[in-house]
Amino acid sequence: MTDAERHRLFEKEALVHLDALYRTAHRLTGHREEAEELVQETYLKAFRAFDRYEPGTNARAWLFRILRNTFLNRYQRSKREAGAVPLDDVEPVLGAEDPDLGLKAETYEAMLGRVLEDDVRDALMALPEAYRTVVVLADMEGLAYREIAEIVDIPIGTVMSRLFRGRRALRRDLVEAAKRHGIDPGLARQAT
Amino acid sequence: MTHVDCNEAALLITALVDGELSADDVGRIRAHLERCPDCAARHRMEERLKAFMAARSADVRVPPDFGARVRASLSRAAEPPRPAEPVGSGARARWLPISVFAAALVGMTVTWVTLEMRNVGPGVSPFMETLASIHYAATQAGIFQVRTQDPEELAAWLTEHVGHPVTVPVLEELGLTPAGGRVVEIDGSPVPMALYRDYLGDMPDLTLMAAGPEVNWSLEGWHSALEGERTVHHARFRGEDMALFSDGETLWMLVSTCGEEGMSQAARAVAVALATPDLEPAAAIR
Repeated sequence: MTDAERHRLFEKEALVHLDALYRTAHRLTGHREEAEELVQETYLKAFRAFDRYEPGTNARAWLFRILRNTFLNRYQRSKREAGAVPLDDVEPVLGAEDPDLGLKAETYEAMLGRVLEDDVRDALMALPEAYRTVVVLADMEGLAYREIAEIVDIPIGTVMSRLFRGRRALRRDLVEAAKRHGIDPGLARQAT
Repeated sequence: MTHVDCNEAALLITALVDGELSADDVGRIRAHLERCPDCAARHRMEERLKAFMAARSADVRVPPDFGARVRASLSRAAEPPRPAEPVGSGARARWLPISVFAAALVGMTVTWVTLEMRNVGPGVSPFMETLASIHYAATQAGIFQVRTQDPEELAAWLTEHVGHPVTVPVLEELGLTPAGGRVVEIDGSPVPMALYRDYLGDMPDLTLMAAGPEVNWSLEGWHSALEGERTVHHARFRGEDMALFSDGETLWMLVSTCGEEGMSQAARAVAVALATPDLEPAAAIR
């Protein structure tokens, strides 16, 4: 393969995913500059390993996998977040009671309407990486369980339980944020 | 159709919201939702949250020039290495290339400069400290490389970016000359790989900074670059220790994200390993 062919193929197979990788990197790190560095490094690694890439296989999953591993290498080990890896299937997923279930649908809707971008970022960053990654991939990038399982290297059942727990934690944080912004569930009920 | 309890329903709701359920399971969970108000509420909230988060995806905007910058860095990575020129200096002088680099630069024209610095002595030296300080200033300021053969131009460039006046006599005193991209290996005593692994191999809190045409921020990069036997230098700058070596194209710096102590340990270990290669690992760390 000539250099020009290699660049062309890389463009077609890998660089088409640049926006998705950047958005995901931004959600994982919470910062623009760090997202840029992470994606730059991901593409450099992918480019160097591109000779081993087989056209037709899932380039997106391959790139997301490099992105996540790079992220873990750069950030997680230093923050000792590895200790926060969830128990997954060991305990029942429901666990404790969920007070938000008492919220009326209209109240919940009004609350989400008050949530700001900063709240979303903070709530995602508050999640342990194991949850954050699957929530971002599933909810923000719309990836299927099979693909997420491949990227994160966990069984599909674990993807599911991490999504359940991750979303529940996320929802609680967003509801709390909405309350701080002045949506009181009691008042909202009276208003409807 | 088997009965669904709320614990199982939680996962089925998750999969239902994500469109990942088989038709059979969809029937099972729908039947449960009709009977169980809690799970029905949970289902509504999950569905709404997913739609909300999907809409928030658009809040992150890709910088308009980012694609161009990624492509530019890939093109640089694909360039063949520059041919080495003969070293034309005094018999005792050793030359080390430093490519000053910063990763955080946004939207700046990329120019290349390679500085070469004379290594005035083995091991820890004022030279390494200068090198570290210039690199530090460069990374803080967000500078890419500049290529020049002109000492005046280099002095002006450093004055602008290092933050204090640098004149041509100062450059000469520092043994710092512009050399337009010459790539020369550095000389010195090698680090035994076994000692290196004992000291640094398992330290989780080390972060690697590499400066050069090839950017590699990973500890793996440091490992693979050290596969050959290299001289690792210990340098201190503003009270922080760092370990540095050059593989002829890239200046590698090892610093710590866990504060001064972690890096001090690592750099001290490297320095001690250099000085006394037969030292017991545990003694060098402490």
